[in-house]
Amino acid sequence: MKYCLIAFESTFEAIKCEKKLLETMPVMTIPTLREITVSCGVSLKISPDDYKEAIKTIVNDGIKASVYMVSGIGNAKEIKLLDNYS
Amino acid sequence: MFILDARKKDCPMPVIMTKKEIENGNLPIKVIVDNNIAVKNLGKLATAKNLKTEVNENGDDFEVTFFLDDDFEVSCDINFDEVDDKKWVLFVQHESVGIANELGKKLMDMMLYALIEMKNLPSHIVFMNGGVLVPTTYEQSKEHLKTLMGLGVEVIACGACLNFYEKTLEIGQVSNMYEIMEIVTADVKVVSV
Repeated sequence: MKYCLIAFESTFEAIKCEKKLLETMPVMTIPTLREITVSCGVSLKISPDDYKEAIKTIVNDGIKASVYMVSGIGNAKEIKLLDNYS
Repeated sequence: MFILDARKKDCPMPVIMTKKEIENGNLPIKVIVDNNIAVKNLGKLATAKNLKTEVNENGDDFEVTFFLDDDFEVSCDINFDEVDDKKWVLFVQHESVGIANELGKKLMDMMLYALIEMKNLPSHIVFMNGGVLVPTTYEQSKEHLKTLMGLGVEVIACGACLNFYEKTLEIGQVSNMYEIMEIVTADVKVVSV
């Protein structure tokens, strides 16, 4: 399983970003993974196919967020930081 | 064999003493009691713990022996970490975690998502009052509940509450107050949100 995870500095930005992204793509609100320590605790999970579109929204709206690629599940997860807009 | 003398002990002490010894790993265990009510209650404890019992009368006393079910022993590699995990039920009374705001609904989605990765899953998730909006209205929560059901968790919603909120349950089972009370008063820990 591979997905993009967007972590935020504030819950308000997480909720704002979710509303924006939902206009163009499916989004799931999930708790920020334990491995990612710099976050408000709320993250968004999107498909890697929607990554570029999501980045456009984050940049255009000046949202402070970090975007990660997550592969695997449970303890076998691999997390790679793709972009940091904080 | 471990022997526990629970004679002259008032209800429910024989059950509490036996439960403690079983949880300390003292099996098989022979419990000596002096009344029929204690024998019946010890039988209920055995059922809850997946154990077999043998009852022998000895004069005015009863000897109740608890031992592992043979089939259980043969067919399972016992993971003692899991055996130690207490059975639990998640009791959801509201559509959100805490006060009903936007964050509370997100927290509900996130809580159900996080549950999926938990080692010790609840045996049941019970939805009551405004909680029935979760399995009927919120798409993300519904998806997580479907996954949890696939992992063996039973999803139960209060029928009267569904009727009050005019909602139809698409996942899980509609239930009533009697069954819900049986679930939450069994030998389980109940976590209420």
